[in-house]
Amino acid sequence: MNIETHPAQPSEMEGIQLLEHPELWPEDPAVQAELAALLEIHLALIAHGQSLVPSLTKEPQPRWHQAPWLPLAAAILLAVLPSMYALRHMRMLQAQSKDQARIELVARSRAQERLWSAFFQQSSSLLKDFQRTPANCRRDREDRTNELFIAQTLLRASHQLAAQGSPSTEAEALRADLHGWLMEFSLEDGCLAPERAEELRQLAAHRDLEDASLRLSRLLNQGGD
Amino acid sequence: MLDLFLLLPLDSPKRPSPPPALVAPLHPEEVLLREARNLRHQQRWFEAAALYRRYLAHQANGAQAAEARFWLAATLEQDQRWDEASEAYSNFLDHHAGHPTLAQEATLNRLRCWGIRQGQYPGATPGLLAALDDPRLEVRVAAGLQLAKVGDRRAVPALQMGMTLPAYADASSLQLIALGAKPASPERHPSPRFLVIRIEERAAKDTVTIRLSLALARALGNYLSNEQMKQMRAKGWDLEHLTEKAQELPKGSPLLTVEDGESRISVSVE
Repeated sequence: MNIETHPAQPSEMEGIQLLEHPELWPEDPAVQAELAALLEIHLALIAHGQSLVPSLTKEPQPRWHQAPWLPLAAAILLAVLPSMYALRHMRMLQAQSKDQARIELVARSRAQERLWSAFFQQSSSLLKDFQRTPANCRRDREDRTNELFIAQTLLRASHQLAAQGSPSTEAEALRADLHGWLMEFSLEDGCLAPERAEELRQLAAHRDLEDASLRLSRLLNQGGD
Repeated sequence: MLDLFLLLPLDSPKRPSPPPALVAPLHPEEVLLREARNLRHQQRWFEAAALYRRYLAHQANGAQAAEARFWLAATLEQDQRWDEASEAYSNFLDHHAGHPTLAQEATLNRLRCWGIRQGQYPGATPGLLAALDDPRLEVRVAAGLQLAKVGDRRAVPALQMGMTLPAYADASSLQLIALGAKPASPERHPSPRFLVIRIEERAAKDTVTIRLSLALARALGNYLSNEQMKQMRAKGWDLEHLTEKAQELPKGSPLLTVEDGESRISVSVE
């Protein structure tokens, strides 16, 4: 090592080099003592300085691909995107299910109205037929066998409708009236005494069953549109 | 003497005049029953019920006691006195359970009274539940329909059986769906098939798809408006024979398309 020495005033660089080579130190004890103190500081810096470097150096500007928020953002996106898709899909399914429930409800209500409408229409037809003069049976009695069969069928239908529930209070009231009439008739013999037949006709007329049945039948049938 | 007095009929403006000559005069109890019927026809329920009760008080085992008991119950039912009516029907059934024409009617009418009073009259729900074990299928189904009206799922097995009765199939199917149960197909097909109904509503974005068991194909009509039903008939399809026709077609076959101002419905077999 070739170091130019200037015992009086060594440069900073020379001083540092001198610190690492004590054999070249000047003879002057005062200078040597000063250099020894510097050497302690120098050695301490070498030993601990590395850990101080980051705090002493200026913080580097983050680059986009090294940004600490990026993994977080990516994680959020990974979590949020499927959730958003699931949410949208769920909403779509909910909307479809709501549509389906509404359509099913309309279908049920339509089915109910058609059943009631058919019942009223057939009752009206039966009452109309009952006004006509039929063939005789057993001397002067009225042969009402066909009407009786229809009445018994309608009576069963009336039970079915009563059990199912009515589309309106008016419909239920008329069904109850018709049920009463059908019950009266159904419990008779198919070969009716003319007085009894007339009684049944008057009963139907008194409550206006035929016209009311026809009117409600038409009204309920409109619900199918 | 007192009995005779009690059996005398009440005055009524429409009381038929007594038949003259040749016709045998009516017994007082028959006059009373005829009067009760007249009152019933005039919808004077309260007075009619009183006459039937008067008759039964003195003719509990009379020749027309069965009719009197039945019409007493029916009169109370018409008067919407449901609890009294159901008790009167029970009374009738206790005495005349085997009556050839009235027993079935009384049983079904009592179910209706109980159905109306479910949750209000203590005997109503237990009565309906007991009827689910009745040997007559129609009674079981009718009880099931009443229970279903209040959402009681104990009705489901009876309603499934109702699917086998043509007169009750529609009502049973509707109530089963309302209870969230799938109506069992009354027919067994070797390969189960469905009608797939696709409904595109003008007002809605998405198409709604409904699958209907082929055995329940008649229910397709419930999804169609009157206008669409007309179109369907015009195209030669009718609900009565839809099942047989659809059964003949290969899977995936489009069946028909109908539309009105509100929706377009296409049906295929799957």
